Amino acid sequence: MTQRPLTPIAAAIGLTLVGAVTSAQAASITLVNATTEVVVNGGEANNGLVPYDGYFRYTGPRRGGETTWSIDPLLRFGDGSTAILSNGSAGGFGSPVDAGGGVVRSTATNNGISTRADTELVGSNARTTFTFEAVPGPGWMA
Amino acid sequence: MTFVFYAENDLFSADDDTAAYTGSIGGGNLTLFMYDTTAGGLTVRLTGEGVSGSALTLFGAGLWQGFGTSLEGGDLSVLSRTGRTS
Repeated sequence: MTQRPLTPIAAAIGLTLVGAVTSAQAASITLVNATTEVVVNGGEANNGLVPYDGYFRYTGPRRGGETTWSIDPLLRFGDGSTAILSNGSAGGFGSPVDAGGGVVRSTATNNGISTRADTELVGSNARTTFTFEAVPGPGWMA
Repeated sequence: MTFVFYAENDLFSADDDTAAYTGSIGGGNLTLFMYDTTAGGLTVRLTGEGVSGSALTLFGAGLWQGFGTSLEGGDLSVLSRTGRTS
């Protein structure tokens, strides 16, 4: 197993998408178990990548410290523009909703792409599943 | 369209934090880690998977201000297929 150091202290991964739900509650939703707390803000953070308070905030089991405090999923479109999904005031996610079964859901639509993010707390892991779908527009036929 | 998942951390404090990775995109087993080089005992692990209709293509890490600002502006040159620092 290799492990090459990178530079601190934010990290990101990018997925190129090939081809490519919500009610207003206006509040964050907290998932908590015996060791871990995840506050899902959805787009309530209303900010970008550098400020803290992103899509969710994570307080892990070690020392009770809030270690992960700016999680900001973003979309980059072919023209170079971006949509910061944690910034609800700029077209990002709306308020998160309780989808049941321990799932907190956030949704947004940007440039003809709908995004759904489902976050769960699994043990001490925060797991978010993103689903992207093309939104039918003018000229679209089923 | 590219989807970027960005995570920013202070581990125990903002001092002595760093990032590393294991595996590779080509190997289908890439994992990013963020940890404190002196405090130890706590690692944030970030994994991404290319699933149906998508492919994992880029990753990297950097000091939060410049790194985050670049990504927010749509500048993906701070990432690469083999990992990039900025």
